[in-house]
Amino acid sequence: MSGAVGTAGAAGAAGEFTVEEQVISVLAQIYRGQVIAVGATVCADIATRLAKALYAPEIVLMAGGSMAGYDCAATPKALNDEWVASPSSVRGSDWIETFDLISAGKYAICMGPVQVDRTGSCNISVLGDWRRPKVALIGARGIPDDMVRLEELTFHVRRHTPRALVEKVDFRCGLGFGPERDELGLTLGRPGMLVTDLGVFDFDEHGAGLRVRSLHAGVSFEQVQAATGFELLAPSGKLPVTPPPTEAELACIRDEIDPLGVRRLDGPEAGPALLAELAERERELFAIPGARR
Amino acid sequence: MSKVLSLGEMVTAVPPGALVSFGGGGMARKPMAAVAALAMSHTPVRLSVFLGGPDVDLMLGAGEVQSLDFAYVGFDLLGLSPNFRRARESGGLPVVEWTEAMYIAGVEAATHHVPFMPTRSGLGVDVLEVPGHPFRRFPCPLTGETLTAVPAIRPDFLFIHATEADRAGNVRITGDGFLDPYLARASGTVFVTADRLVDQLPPDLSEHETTISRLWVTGVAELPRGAAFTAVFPQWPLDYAAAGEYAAHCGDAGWLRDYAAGLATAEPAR
Repeated sequence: MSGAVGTAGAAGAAGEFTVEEQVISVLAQIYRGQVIAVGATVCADIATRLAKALYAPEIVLMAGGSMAGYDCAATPKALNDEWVASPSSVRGSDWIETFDLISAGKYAICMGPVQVDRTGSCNISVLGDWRRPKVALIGARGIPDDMVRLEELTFHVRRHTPRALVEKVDFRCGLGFGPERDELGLTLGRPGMLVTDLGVFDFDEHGAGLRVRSLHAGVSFEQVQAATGFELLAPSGKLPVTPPPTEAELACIRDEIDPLGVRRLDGPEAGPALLAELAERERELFAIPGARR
Repeated sequence: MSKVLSLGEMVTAVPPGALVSFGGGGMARKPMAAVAALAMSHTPVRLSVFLGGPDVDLMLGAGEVQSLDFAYVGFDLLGLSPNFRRARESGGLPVVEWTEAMYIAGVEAATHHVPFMPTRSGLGVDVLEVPGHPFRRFPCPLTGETLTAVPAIRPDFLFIHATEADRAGNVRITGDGFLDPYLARASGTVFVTADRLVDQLPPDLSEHETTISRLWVTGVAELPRGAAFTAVFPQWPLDYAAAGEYAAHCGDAGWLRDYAAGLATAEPAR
């Protein structure tokens, strides 16, 4: 498991928790109301389940992103989610209805951008020049669509580095704050909270830059600044520590919604070996049909 | 009337330069056996795929793609697509990068038989700032607000893999249908491979399933596990071991050729 970053507070008897568990706890706060809740990273996906289980039973989950399994319970996170989640779903839907719901604003999403810049513009398409990329990522997907339909976007960056937090993104899938947004008269798709493995941040609404809202336990402002590719806005006072996950949250994450430990895929162990290990354990844990021929 | 064809009959129907699309999305329900057979037929085609995965990767690795339209290409939890990366990073592949909602709108334009659909997407992002894109900002003739026109997507050929089909061409998809039913209505010729062919689809389909009428379908073939390692709910979860092996080796042209040849010839007698 990835290293413990802190101790859960309040209840006292609390044990240690990982940075992934910290991130899940923070992200669970964004999913409220009559919306489809979607998380594009593993931690954000688990956060939708945590929100459903503890705080917001009214939100709609999809069976691991499957349109065929709308409105399912907060089932355990799996690699083959459809198998675990579908049986609890209320009905089936499709991609057309999903975008109709997005157009109606009935959708809350946390994205996992590869680059975010100081204004809140984000990128999952390419690194380098689009015409001949240094790295071709996955394409713009639905970010430009969400940006003109939803009020606010949330971001989860798994590893806070100067290559992820950049002065200017190489390709804009979503537009941040600043003069261009004002000239376009764009009021939707505002960059909201950014959560990384170091802290919780938000963006100045005039494009002046990125503010630290809180630092995760044991992280200093200097450490975050060194891991950021541009100058952070100066803190106005002593920076708060991100509230640690509660005992109830940790128990829910570990025992109910991620007993397999899929959240490790968002941590430093990520890679083919971990994926293979999880795939092997998944079949026993959830009785998923054997995949080999 | 039987619409049962062999996989060979399906791929030989595709002429060079045709616009070809594949159903499914990412690592789910990709018509991999049909893709492999098409790649092995050495027919260069133009590809248009909503959410590409190993289907797009295999075609690009085989060098049979003249151009690519996409909203996503990737292997989901298994990372980036090696042959998509190589094709894009060499700068030699003409591409159009769509957004998901714009791609859906393009398919809807085709099904409505209109040249374009208006959409709100595209404002303030670089999808409309790249060379050669087919989208146009235009003032709405009714309200004056600026919208984005996206052209109709009309594939000449669509390949889908499904759980089940009857011999007349009615199709049953269990799990996420992605855009398949809409793409079927937008495409000139629709070929379906199915895990099994049956005399009649079950009468008690649940709402979690997607069906496509035979009126939209040109031909069907029985190809058990025609989606190879990709997921087909509920019978075949994503085979992470086989998918990982593909991801690790698909950049090797010799390995990919052998892999595609194996898939394309795995067709059982019917």
